[in-house]
Amino acid sequence: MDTGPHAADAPIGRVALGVLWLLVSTAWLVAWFVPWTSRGLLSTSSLADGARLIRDGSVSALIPSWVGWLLLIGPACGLLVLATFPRVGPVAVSARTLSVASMVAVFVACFHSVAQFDPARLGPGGWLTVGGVVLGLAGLALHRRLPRTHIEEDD
Amino acid sequence: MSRFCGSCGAQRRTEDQAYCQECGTPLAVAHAPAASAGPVVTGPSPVPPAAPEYAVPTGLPPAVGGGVPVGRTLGVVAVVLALVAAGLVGWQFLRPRGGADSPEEAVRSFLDAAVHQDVLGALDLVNPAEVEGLDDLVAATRERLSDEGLTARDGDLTDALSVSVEDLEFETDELGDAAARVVLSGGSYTVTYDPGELPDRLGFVAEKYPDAETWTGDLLEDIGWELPDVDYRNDRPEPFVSAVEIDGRWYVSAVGTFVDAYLGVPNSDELRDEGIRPPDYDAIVADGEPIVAEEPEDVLDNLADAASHEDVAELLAQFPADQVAMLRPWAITIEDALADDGVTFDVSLDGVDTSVEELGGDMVRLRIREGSVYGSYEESDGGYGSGSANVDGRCVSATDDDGDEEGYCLEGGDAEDLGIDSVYLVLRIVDGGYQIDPIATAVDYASSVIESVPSRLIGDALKEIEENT
Repeated sequence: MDTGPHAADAPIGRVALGVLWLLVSTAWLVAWFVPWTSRGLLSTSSLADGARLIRDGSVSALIPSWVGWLLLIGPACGLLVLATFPRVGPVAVSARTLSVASMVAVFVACFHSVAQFDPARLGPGGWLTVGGVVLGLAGLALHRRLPRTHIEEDD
Repeated sequence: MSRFCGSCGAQRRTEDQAYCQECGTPLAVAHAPAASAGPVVTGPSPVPPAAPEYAVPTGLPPAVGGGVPVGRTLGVVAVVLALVAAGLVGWQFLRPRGGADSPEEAVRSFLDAAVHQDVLGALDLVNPAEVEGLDDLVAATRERLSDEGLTARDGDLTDALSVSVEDLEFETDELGDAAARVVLSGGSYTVTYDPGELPDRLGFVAEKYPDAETWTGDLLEDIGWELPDVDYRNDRPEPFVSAVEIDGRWYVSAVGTFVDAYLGVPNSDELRDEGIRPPDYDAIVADGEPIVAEEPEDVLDNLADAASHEDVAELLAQFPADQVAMLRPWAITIEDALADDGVTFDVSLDGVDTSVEELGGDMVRLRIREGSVYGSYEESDGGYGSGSANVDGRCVSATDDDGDEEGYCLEGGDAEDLGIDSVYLVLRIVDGGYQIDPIATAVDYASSVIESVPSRLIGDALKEIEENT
C-alpha cells in the first residue's frame, strides 16, 4: 500500500499527466495542419499540404517521394498519444517515449531543412511541434515521479 | 466488506476488486470463493491486485447504477477521438489536390504564397495541369542559383527583399460555372530591403545601397499598370487573375490569365451584332474526346489537318485537355471571326524526319531532324498570305510569301551554352495515343538552358548589372 509522501498527490498527478498528453497530441496534430515556418518554404502551406503534394508527385523534383511518408510521422505520433492519453501503463509509456523521440528527430530534420536552424523562421507549426516535444518530455518526467501503485496496470 | 470505497465512495465493480476504480485506494478483498463457507479475509491482497485498466482522474463522477466505469469511458473516448483525427489526417493526405473554396481565396492565397516565397503553397493553388513538371524547372533554377552563389545562405531566392501585401480587396466577375476573373480593387504592399541578407556574389549591390530600407505603397497606384489588365482602355488599372474550378476547388490559371489579358474583355453585345458568338466559358468543363496520334510522328500531321479545317475546337482537342481548358471558351469566337472574314487555311508538311526518345513515365521526346511546313490563308475579299518554316538539323528558317528568308542555327558555342542541340517537342501519352504537351515542352527547353548556361555568361551579366547599378 502506498503511504509515501506522494500518495495523496497521485490522483492529481494522473490528471495532470492525462491533460499533458492530451495537449501534446493536440499540438502535434495541429502542427501538421498549419504553416510550419514564418517565411519561405512551408510559410503559407502546411506539412499536410507538403505530404499531399509529394504523394501526388507534383513536387517530385524538389522533394523525394519518401519524404512524404516521413512527414506522416508527426500526425502518427499525435494519434498514438491521443489514443492512449488516459492510460499510464508500460505499453502507453513506451509508445509515448517512442513518439517523443520520433518527434525530436522530425523537428530537428524540419528545423534544419526548412528553417536552417533559425528560430526566427519558425512558424506556428514549428512552435507547436517543439512545444509538444517539451510537454512530452515533461510528461515522461512526471510519469517517473508517480507512485508505482498508480501506474501499474494492464495495457 | 463494504461495496463502496472508503475514500471516495465509488461503488466497487467486483468483490475481488483490490483497488478503487476511481481513486486507487486499496480495498478489502474477499478471496474465498462465493460458494465457500470459509472465513472472509479482508485487507490488502498479498498478491498484485487486479489493477484498473485505465488511470482515472479524481473529481470525475463515478459510474452510477452499475453503468460503464469512467476510466473505460475515457479510454473509449480517446480511441474515438484518435479515429476521428486519423480520418481527418487521411482525408487531408489522400484528397486530390489543394486549391481553395472560392476564386478570391485562391488568388489571395496564391499571392500570399508567392510573396512569402513558398513554392509548395504557390504550386498548390495553380491549376494542376499548368504546373505539371514545373517543379523540375524550380529545382533546376534553385540548384543553379545555389551553385552560382546567388541565393542567400538559407536557400531562399531573395531573402534580401521581403515583400508583404495587405488589405487586399477583390471584385469577382463570374465568367461561367467554372471560371472567374478576380480583379484587384485595392491593397497595399510593403517591401523591406536588407543588404545584409544579400548573397556574397551580389555584394556590389550592398556596397552601392548599404542602408536597409522599407517601401510601402498602394498596389494599384504604384504597380497596377504593370500587371495583367482587364481593359487597357480604362483610365485606371484593373489587374486581374483568372481562376478555374476543377473538381469543386478553385485554382489560379496562368494560361487563363494570359489569354484573358491578351484577348481582352470582349463586348458580347458588339460581337453578337457582328454575328460572332462571344466566348462560352462553360466550355471549360465540357467533356470532349481527345484527339491522339497513334504514333508520335503523327502528331504533326494531325495538327496540320486540324489547322486546315479552321476548326479551333479540333485543334485544341489535340493538346492535354486540362492545359487548354481556358482556351476552349474562345474556340467558337475565333471560328466565327474567321468565318466572318471568309478565312481559309491550308497547312501541309513535307519531308519530315523524326526520332523518338523515351523520357520515362508517360512522356516522350519527338526530335525533328528535318522537315518543312507550308501554310497559306485566303480571305473572301481576296486577301492571301503564305509562308513556310523549315528544320534542318540544328537550323531553323522561315520564309514569307515574298520569298524573304530568315533563319538561325544552333551551332557550336550557342548549342553548348543553351544545352539545346535540336528542335523537339515533348509528347504525352493520352488514351493510348500521343499528344503534344506545350507546358512540358517549354519546361524541358527552359530546364536545359538553366542547367547549361555557362558561369561565364552569368558572370558577364552580373558585371553588366554592376556597371549599370
